[in-house]
Amino acid sequence: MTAGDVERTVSAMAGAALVVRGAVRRDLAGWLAIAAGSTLIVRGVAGKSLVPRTLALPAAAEEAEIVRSVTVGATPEAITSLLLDPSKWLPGEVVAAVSVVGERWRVDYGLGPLRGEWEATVRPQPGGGVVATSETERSALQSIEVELLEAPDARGCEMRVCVMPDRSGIAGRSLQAFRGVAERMLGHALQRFRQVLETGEVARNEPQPHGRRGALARVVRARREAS
Amino acid sequence: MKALCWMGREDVRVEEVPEPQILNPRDAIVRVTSTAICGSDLHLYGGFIPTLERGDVLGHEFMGEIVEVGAGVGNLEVGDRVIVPFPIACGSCWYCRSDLHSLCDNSNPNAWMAEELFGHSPAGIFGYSHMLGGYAGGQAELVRVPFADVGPLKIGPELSDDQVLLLTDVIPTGWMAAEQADIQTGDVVAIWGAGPVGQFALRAAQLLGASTVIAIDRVASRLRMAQRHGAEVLNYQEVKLQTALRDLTGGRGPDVCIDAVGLEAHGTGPLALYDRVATSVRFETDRSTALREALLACRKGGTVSIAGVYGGYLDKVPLGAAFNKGLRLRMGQTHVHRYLRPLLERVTRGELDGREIITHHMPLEQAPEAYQIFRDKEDECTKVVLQP
Repeated sequence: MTAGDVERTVSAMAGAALVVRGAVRRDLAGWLAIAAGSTLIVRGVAGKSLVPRTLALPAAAEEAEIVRSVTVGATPEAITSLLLDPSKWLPGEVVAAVSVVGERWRVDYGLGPLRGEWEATVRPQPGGGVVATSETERSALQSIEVELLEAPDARGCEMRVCVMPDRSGIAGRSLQAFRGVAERMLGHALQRFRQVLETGEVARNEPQPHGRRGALARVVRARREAS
Repeated sequence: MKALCWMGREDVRVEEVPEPQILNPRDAIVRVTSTAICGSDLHLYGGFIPTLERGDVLGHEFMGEIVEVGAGVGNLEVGDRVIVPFPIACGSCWYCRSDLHSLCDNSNPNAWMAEELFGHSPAGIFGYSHMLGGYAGGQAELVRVPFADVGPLKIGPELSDDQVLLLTDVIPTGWMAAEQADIQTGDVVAIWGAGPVGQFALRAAQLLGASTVIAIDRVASRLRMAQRHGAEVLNYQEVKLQTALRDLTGGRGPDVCIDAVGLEAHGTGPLALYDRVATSVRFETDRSTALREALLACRKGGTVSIAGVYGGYLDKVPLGAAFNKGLRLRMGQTHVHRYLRPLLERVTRGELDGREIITHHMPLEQAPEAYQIFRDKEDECTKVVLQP
């Protein structure tokens, strides 16, 4: 993300002021002011903002896509077949339920208090993979494209998943803003997909034996079980 | 049931916890008959491994009797006596098919945590933090074993628990440390750490053709044990280690150096003190004294094999020495599944025997005391076996 000359000058001056103020205070707020001021000085001098990179925010339109790849030990036909049967692998922490009628999918999702549904048309592609196109306006996702490539050394297929958030809605913009979290969620979903295809089940560790948990863990687990 | 739970740094307690359940078709439940405390459990005990939660059940060296199997387990029956490898492996992914079971792609439900720290996730491990799967461990009366059709190996009644229990970890770990170093007949092998893994690395090096094995430690009882098995021994607190190793090898340095210590290395000198301070204030996560010494001591073009566990970030590691001497580095969690059958044959023939290093048997209820004894090496303790 680049900045103009005026913006750079203002950034540098404001940054210097914050650093001086922070150095005088010498407390937590002061250290935060120094950190913020330093960032503004760097932005002023270099003409580039470190914030988007630090927070993994998209710096340009071309970075809007969320992409993850995974190698799966299976044929393109087996992968495509499982992709078209999402009830076997998609439900998890975020996706509550999936229903499939012909080419149309309806996905009920929830992330904490945020809940919604997504309807899409899903079509297999020649040579393997699928493309899912949203039928819901202002939803989180505009489209999902799954490409398959043969992996070397008889390892199966490289599965590249490209998710395009719908930037016209709040959910899509949130997804884009917190792309680090979105990438991790996508990675987790792909891991589950691979587990189902390669092992026939999803690796689980809950519920299982444990002793008395700490207070914070008890609250988190109680909320998870309640939801 | 009773299980040993981690309740905080240097605080483990035997608690009453819920019994495990079959969660997936390929699971089995094992009633534990013997379980050992591993040196790497001490890293958890000491709070060196992140993502452990209060209440987690520890233990990854265990064996017992199958009491329940899932619908997808066709090769085990209730009543079978089994040993269970410490890494959990699916048997189907590319890594498992390549005999690299500790790198299994599919057995860590919390792979994302490991990816944050390591870039990619290794296999899940019993009782070894949430980053490595969050699975309850085997220092308990019962344990759930995922992918039970792949890991557990049936054992006949002719071998005792003590003879075979250590096949779940330290025997294969010592073996892999020597094997991956590609020891040639006549090689001189130096082993840092004469604890359980070091003792079996010693036996493995001898069986693989080493002419001389040098065991390095500071604990007299462990050095005596190594000496009884034909090793030269060096107490690093009593000699100048680098000089002594050069003297023992005609100035060349050992052909193979094995680090069987890992992240809680002790040592002497300013760098060891630096490690102590840096780890205590969390500037680094692991104390690298043994690895540092091994890299410096190894002969030009030699091999350094790392069997001791490292978990995070190390400081003052002389990679320049490794580079300029053209060293070969080998390391990794043990691919136990690969070694189980061949090493069981060696155990059956008497070439390897867990009984030689087991010094203590204690009931599970005394596990907190057992951890202290093992950590402090009191009472000439080398290995503790707990009986639930």
